[in-house]
Amino acid sequence: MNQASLLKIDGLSYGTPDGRPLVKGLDVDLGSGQILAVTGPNGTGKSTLLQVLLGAHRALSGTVSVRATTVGYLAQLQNREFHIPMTLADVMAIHNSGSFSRVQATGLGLLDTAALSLSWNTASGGERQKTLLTQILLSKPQLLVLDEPTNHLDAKSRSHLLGLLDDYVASGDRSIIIVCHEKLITEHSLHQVKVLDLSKFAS
Amino acid sequence: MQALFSIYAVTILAASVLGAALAGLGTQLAARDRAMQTLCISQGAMLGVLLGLGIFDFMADLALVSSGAPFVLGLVLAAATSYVSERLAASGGSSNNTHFAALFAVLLACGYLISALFPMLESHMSQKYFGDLATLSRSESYATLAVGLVLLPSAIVFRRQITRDSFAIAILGAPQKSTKWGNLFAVGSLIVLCFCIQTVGFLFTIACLFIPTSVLSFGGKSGLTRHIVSCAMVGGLATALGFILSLVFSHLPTVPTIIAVMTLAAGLFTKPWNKS
Repeated sequence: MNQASLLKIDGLSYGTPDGRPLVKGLDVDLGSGQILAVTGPNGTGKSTLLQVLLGAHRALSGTVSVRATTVGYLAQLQNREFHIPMTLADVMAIHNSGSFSRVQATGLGLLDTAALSLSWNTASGGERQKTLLTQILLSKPQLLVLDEPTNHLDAKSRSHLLGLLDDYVASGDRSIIIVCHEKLITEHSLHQVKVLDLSKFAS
Repeated sequence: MQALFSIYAVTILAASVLGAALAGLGTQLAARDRAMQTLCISQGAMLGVLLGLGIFDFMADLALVSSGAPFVLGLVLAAATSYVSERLAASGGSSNNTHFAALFAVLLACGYLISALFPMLESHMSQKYFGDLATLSRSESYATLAVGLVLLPSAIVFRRQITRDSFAIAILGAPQKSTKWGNLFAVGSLIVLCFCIQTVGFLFTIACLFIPTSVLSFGGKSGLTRHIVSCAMVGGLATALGFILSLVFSHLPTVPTIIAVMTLAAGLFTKPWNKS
């Protein structure tokens, strides 16, 4: 079945901040219950597309209409240390004020109770990434935008995450945009996935 | 000695509460990697305060400017410095700290030039840079206490909301739109910095902002609440103890004594954590 459109892109063209053209004439209509996998070689403008959708980068032409009422965005993990020595539980708590519980956090299966006591600054890249993914999934935005969310994750965690994403769109009026490499999509069977290969829109 | 303490009781209390509050604010500025930018903004505020004092002195007989001129000009120049520093940071090129260091040098030179234009400012400049809490008037002490009493609970009660923005800026690098908390933090920080530069001075302000959080970040145990509360405790207690020491030993200057005690206290506070 085809649900309401949460994102509509018409004739979008955009480039790098210094004016190098990247993509021309992009059209997308993303309905609820769907996953849009944005793929393409390095430098084709996958992350820049997300910035255009979020209004942080200006398009050269075309229109973007985000109809979702709430949008959650997870950028690529930079793996930086944070000055305030926080635990992973603190990171969860600041993003889910008032509603955070350890049961919820561990219920998704990405983190276990012991991991929540780890320090952000000494946790591995994978543990940091799982923390950020858990908090954004718990915040339940209608449109979830993820930039390379499987970076730093091992094979088992990658597979588990993709299962969670499948469940996420299946369980409500939601959709996901995920920037990833094509291999990830071919190796895992995601339902309701639309693949957008940006190299076909290179200007 | 008892009479001396009774004279300074309100000032000690006010400085201690403000010291604790600044330490709480400093954790968030440090978390956003804004320490160098804060030096620039404080120097901008200092420039405005000096300019305001100079103009006030020059036109005092004409009664054209009120005594609020230094604060207002401080706020305007701090806001302008904040804007310029943000633009420099957004422009890329060299590291942000390089841009901020260059801006700081320019503002420092401007302050010196202004003091040359208004010779009476030399003593004011020294006072505003190095401060002397013991010379705060009764009304300045009450104003300092009031600012501290607003800022300290805010830094603790709203720590999660403010830290969420700090985390997004420092770690996620996500495209940030203006948020309610982001705007409140930016405006509140500017007002607090200007007020502090004008009343308690540049050195005390910067020391309280960054010494506790810098030293305590070496602590062994993690925890958002633990860090912010510990910083506030070190800032407040060290200010009180340092102030009292400088009254007992009258040859000790107030602010440097407070800073020495603060550094020592933060170090002691950190050590037991490393053992656990």
